[in-house]
Amino acid sequence: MKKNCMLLLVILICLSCKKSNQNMFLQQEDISLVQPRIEVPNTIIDSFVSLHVKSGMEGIEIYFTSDGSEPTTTFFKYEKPLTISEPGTYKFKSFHPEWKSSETTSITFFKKGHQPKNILWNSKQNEKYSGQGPLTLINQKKAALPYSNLEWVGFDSIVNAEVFFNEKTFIKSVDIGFLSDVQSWIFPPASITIIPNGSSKLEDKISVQLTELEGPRLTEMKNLNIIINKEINSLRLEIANIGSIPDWHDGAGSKAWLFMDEWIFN
Amino acid sequence: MSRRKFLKQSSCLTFGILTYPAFSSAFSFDSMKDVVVGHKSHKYKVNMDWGNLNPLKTPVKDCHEIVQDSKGRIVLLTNHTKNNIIIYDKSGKLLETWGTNYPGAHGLTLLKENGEDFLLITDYERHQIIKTTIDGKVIFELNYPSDTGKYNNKEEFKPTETTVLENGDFYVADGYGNQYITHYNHKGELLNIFGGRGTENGQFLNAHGICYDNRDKNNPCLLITAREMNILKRFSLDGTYLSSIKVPGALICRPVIHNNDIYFAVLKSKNSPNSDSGFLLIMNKNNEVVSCPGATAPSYNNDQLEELYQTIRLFKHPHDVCIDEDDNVYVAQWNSGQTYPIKLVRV
Repeated sequence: MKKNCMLLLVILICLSCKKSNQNMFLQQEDISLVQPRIEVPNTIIDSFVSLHVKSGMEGIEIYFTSDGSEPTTTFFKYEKPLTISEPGTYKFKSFHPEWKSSETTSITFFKKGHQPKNILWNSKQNEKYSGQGPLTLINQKKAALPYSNLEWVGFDSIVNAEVFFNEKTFIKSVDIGFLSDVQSWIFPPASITIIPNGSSKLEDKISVQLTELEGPRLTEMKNLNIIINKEINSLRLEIANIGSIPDWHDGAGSKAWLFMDEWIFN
Repeated sequence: MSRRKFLKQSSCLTFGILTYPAFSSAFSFDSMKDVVVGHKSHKYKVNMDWGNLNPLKTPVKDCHEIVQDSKGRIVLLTNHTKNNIIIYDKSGKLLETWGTNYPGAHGLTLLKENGEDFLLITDYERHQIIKTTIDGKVIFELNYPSDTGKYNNKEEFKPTETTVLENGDFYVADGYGNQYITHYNHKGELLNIFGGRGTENGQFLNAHGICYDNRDKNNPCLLITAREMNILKRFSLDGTYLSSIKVPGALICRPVIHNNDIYFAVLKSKNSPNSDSGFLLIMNKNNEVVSCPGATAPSYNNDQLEELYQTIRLFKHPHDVCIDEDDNVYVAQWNSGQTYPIKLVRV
């Protein structure tokens, strides 16, 4: 009897092993969710904006943070549209008991800045990606993904323009928006230089070098805040394209694209 | 009884035995959660191992298209010139390979003449359509339609797809070129040209796929995808525009008719942050979207389809589908890291 029981046990164990090896189908725990979809009318706040998030699938719970930390299932759970009245960065992530959680997606809100009177272009945008015309980058509207959105302006060489204000204005900082979408051959700039009041003095120049990407990245809308702290009539902005696409990329050696979003003068 | 029905019933029977208390603990079904994609009537489990081969011996680059031949074999077209055609059986076992000079191999269509199988391959790098036997012997090569006056040179002609009528006439979609649809007789003589680049009803942005739709025997028509526009357009066989079916958010590659449904690989979701945001889309006999494996459940609001988008990171850039007699779907992918096709098993 004992022998028979042992035999039965061995058979059952063998069968059960065989069964699990035979399961050829993909398992839910191996596949992650897509990051949540954020819908907002604008990310430049005049008074407030309403933010909606979509998960796209039943059973998904979305959590978010507004302090820069990664969202976890501890807090805060997204249950209804958010009303945003203060600038800052919000991060969202999808969770599901059976699927791998999504990557984090984030969105940054800006306070409306000073409105320049005019912009004078010294460089030419690419005809195919000229956005809403010459004022696109100072029209108080942020772009959205994808790059074909009409608030983006695409350049295949440098960006060089001067903005003018009605009267002497104290500018604390400038926010420069750009796109990082390496799958579409769109790279962050190599450097940004800002020259106040048409000055030719070297010490007035404000220059920022950006570190070059070393591998593929998820598409992201980026922003760089550059401190000015000066009273000005005008600002010249020179933004350098990385030039040719780096070696790790499929398009290595070809011309890289530079896509600019709103310039905000705080 | 169909094979699918039989499997369903027999698996229920097996399940009945296995859930009997004495056996249930030995088979821990609970710990396994098979991925099930799709909606309503069209749901699938996913077999990622199907058709995987040794990439040193039988490599793939982009897996562009996939069809089933009269013997039930699965025929894959890749732009890898070591073996442009890879033929599998339905279990995913390699049967044979051929083809070394189709660098822009993109479109693959099966046609039958007097009981014999032939293939139409479009090659956008050679700017040609090539008719071959099922084992790779070239019957004819067709160059760009220079007489039409719509093309200045062969470089403007980058054909992506073909479709064949019962009488042997065939149509070519120039999805990467000047966006014209050309109509030929079975010998390859030009009969008609229509379409072209533009946003008018009868024009296309990215006329990527074309399919002969004879589901309604009295009113056969052509289904042509305007992939960039997320629209499926219907045309009469003489090239007159009939109607548009909008699929917001879905970059549909080519229509494939199986039974009374239309299946599409969707290259990507229009507004997703990741480019590899593809999924599949299935329409019923009334051309309504009923299932989107890997994406949001289709829903209509006042007859308008809501925007579709990928929900799970399963498919990379699906480029074509092939459906076998058991309703299983084989998915060929573009720019997916040289992966072999995926098999979806209908549940």
